[in-house]
Amino acid sequence: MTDLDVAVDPGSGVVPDGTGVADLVDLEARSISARTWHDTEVFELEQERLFSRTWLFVAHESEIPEPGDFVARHMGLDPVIVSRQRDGSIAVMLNSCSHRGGQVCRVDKGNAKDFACPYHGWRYDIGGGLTVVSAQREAFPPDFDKAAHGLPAARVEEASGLVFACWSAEAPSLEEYLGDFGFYIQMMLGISPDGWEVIGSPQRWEVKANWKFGAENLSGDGYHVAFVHAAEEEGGRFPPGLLWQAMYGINVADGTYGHGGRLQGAAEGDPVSVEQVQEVLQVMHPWLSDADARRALDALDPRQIEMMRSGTYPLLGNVFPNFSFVVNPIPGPHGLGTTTFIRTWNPRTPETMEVVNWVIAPKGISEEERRLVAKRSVNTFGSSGTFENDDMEAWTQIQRSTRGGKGKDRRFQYHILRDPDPTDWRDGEDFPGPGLIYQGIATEDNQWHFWKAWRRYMEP
Amino acid sequence: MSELEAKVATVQDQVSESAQVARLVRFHEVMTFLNREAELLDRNLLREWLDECVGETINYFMPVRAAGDEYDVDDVLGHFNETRSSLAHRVETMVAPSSYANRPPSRTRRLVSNIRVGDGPEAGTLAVTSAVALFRNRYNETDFDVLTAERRDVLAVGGDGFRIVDRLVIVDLSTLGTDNLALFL
Repeated sequence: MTDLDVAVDPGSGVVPDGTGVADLVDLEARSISARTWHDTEVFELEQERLFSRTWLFVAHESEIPEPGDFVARHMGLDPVIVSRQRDGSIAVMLNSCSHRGGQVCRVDKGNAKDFACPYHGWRYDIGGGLTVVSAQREAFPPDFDKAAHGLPAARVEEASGLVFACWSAEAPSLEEYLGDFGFYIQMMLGISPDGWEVIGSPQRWEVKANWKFGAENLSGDGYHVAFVHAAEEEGGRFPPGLLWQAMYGINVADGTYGHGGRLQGAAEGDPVSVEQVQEVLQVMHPWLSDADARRALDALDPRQIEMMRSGTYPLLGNVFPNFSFVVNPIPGPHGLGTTTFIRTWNPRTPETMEVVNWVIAPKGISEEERRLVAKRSVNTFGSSGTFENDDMEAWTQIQRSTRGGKGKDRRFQYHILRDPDPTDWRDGEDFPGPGLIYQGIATEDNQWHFWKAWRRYMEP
Repeated sequence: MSELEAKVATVQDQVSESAQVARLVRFHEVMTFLNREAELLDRNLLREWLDECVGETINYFMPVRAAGDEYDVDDVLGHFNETRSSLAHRVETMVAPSSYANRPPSRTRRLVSNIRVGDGPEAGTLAVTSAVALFRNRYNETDFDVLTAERRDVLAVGGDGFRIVDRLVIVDLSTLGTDNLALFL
């Protein structure tokens, strides 16, 4: 079952110059307009319709363990504060004073008793409630209602320690929003029986390319690996030919909200025993003791165990619109072992994004293992990661080519469709995991699901 | 002042003068080394940089910064968390034919200054602090990405010159303004 074949909806969304959203993403031709990469009007519409209506990742729960702990983040272009409340819940509020909009939090992280605006001195409690209006008695009407002037608050929900926020009251719950995709996130993070924690502060850097390049890529672009990352074989990380193999695997998508991910392995033949799964997990993640590995396996869903017995492990993915993750053992100069990061691709301008990259480590592992997780993760992906360096080069080059009179009107097609052969191994209904399954050579179906969700959100 | 006291004073002056000369020579040698290092990196001679400048063991760390952290930098997560073998791996990847982030190479200019030289943590080592400004230009763009940082190095003094055995790069940006770090600071 796929909803790729739905009838073309003419659409009513229109960017200010009169171009319809339906023209930017053509469902029938399976193509997008290059304008989606660089156009200012499209970018502004994204702020209004996409980033104000979707669930956006803002923090990992381990970053703010104690009441008053906070981090400053962005939801789209909006600066927000994410803070731990006294009852253990998490609040997310616009970092902008209700009086004139000054930022009430001006550092990236810390512990606060309250937040104060430097401009006129208004103060807010750690949940965003207005507590002090300077010279209230002298200068404000007696009926001024502080309770009506708190910082705008977002909805906040958590999944597997990941904290998401959403401005829209109409949006579905996070659980419904993640849908079938939540199963794969849970499987990815479930290999650590005690959960995960962020190491230090996230890496942040600005890339001269539109935010959607990253989001689309991590949705499941298995096609680019052997080409843009060829230096990983030439530099000795992988034996020749291995990256070509990486083109094969399993893509999963929720099919509704635009999430997509990729699983490694495409085992054929007889499933292995659970004990063998445990051995594989312990090779891939050397910090896993026998006891912890058994606890992790005991807590996983039987369908997740069945997938692992068939040699299928989660690899990477993107939660629409801009939260991506990779959990993958990658060999390299620091040995084989866990390489893990979670990240957001934050829009800054139509032609620039801020990448925020958190390295996460399993809770409770030794300091030595923690340092190795950091070293391996930094070596592969992130601001200096050798894989990522070359991705950035591709995306910034595309950005340069879509500015001109000819370039901006081009259309890019998502040609690679699901292998039509119905005998394909475990395709579709036979696969133990939920969602839409694309097995075999990497297709562009996942990216197309991303664009279809983008198109739906861009409609009014 | 007795004759003996005068002689002692003269010798002390000479010793102090030669110590000053030794400090100046040492400073000049360190400056020459850091300038040579910048030259190798600016010319994209990465294997040569590894051979001439990097110790057989090195802790090369560029911590992530956050607004408000002052100099209380994170001690685990960096933009770089490197050892000699991981630097060597990076170099081999960056000189590979398909290293798109380094081919064509960026044009870079490292300006090294504010050098201070002191005794290192162990005999035969120097503690060297310097400031570096890196300008990076790619393709036919007309602007530069700029990275500035304080570097705190430990140099091992050997028969064939200095080798960096510890480098802490305290970068002055919490959000880096360059597409990738296919470069060394």
